[in-house]
Amino acid sequence: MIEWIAAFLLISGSLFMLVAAIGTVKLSDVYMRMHAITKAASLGAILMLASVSLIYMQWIVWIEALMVVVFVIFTAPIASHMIAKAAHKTGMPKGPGYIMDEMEGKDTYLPEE
Amino acid sequence: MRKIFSFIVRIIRAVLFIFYYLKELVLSSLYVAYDIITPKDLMKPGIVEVPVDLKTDTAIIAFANLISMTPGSLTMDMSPDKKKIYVHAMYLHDKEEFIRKMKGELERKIAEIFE
Amino acid sequence: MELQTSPVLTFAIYFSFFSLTISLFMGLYRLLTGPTLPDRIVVMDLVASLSIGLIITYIMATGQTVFLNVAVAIALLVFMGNIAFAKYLIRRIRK
Repeated sequence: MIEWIAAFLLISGSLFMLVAAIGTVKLSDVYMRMHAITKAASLGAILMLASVSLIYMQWIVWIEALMVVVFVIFTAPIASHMIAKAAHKTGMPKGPGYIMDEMEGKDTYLPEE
Repeated sequence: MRKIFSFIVRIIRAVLFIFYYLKELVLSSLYVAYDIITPKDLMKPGIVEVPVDLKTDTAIIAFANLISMTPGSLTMDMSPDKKKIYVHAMYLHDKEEFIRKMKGELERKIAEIFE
Repeated sequence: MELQTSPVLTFAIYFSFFSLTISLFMGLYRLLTGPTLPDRIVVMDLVASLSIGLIITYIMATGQTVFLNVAVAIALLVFMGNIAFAKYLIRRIRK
């Protein structure tokens, strides 16, 4: 029974990663690709870690899997904020279909050197 | 006694918040996945300015991370006086409704826990 | 490769290897053709998640749970890499 659940988690995790990769190819600009990667890929990693901690019932595996999950959950959004902000600051071109951009030309916070 | 009680309530709320965060992560991944797989094009991207009323830095960063985890929105930047957050939205059909969802649902949850 | 697991899990492991490899090739495509620098930085994030997935699938196939340490290290280092690239981009416009 546990093996069925673990196999399901492993397959769904790898499918989420595949979806994130398709998103990087298909979506139109940097910000949209970031949507796909920061959500789908981190959920895929979490599902696969859940699968490995179901198969190997050792506390060291659980602790390390929990560490990876916490890092991924709390650092993936922050990394995407940083890259989105830097891309917008450097004036990267936006894809077609934008209906508004209220950040254009606004004064925003820059980190110190 | 009252202090201990409020502390326990706060911890319970934090645990509930973690579960809410995970639920939003699953929902938004499914949303993005559905949108990537289906070929039709429903996207109306845009960058919106959302006002923030939170005081502490911890609350603001939790709010920004939670925005990134909700379906179809991604935090991009913050104004220097920490009063506004710029959010990239994937489906921007109604700006007022988008801002109302951010303010009413997410910021209230954050304010309950962190302030 | 002969796996020491049940048939269900064996199928899941092969499927996972297959789809992760395809995802890596898609990332490679975006890395080669991405028009701007942030596109390529974003691919680094994707490849890190994919390699965490590959390590986990390898652990499932061989039973060597030691390799979870590598996954921890990748999850930490990629965050640093992202921040460093973002600072580099911002510094480039300051000049």
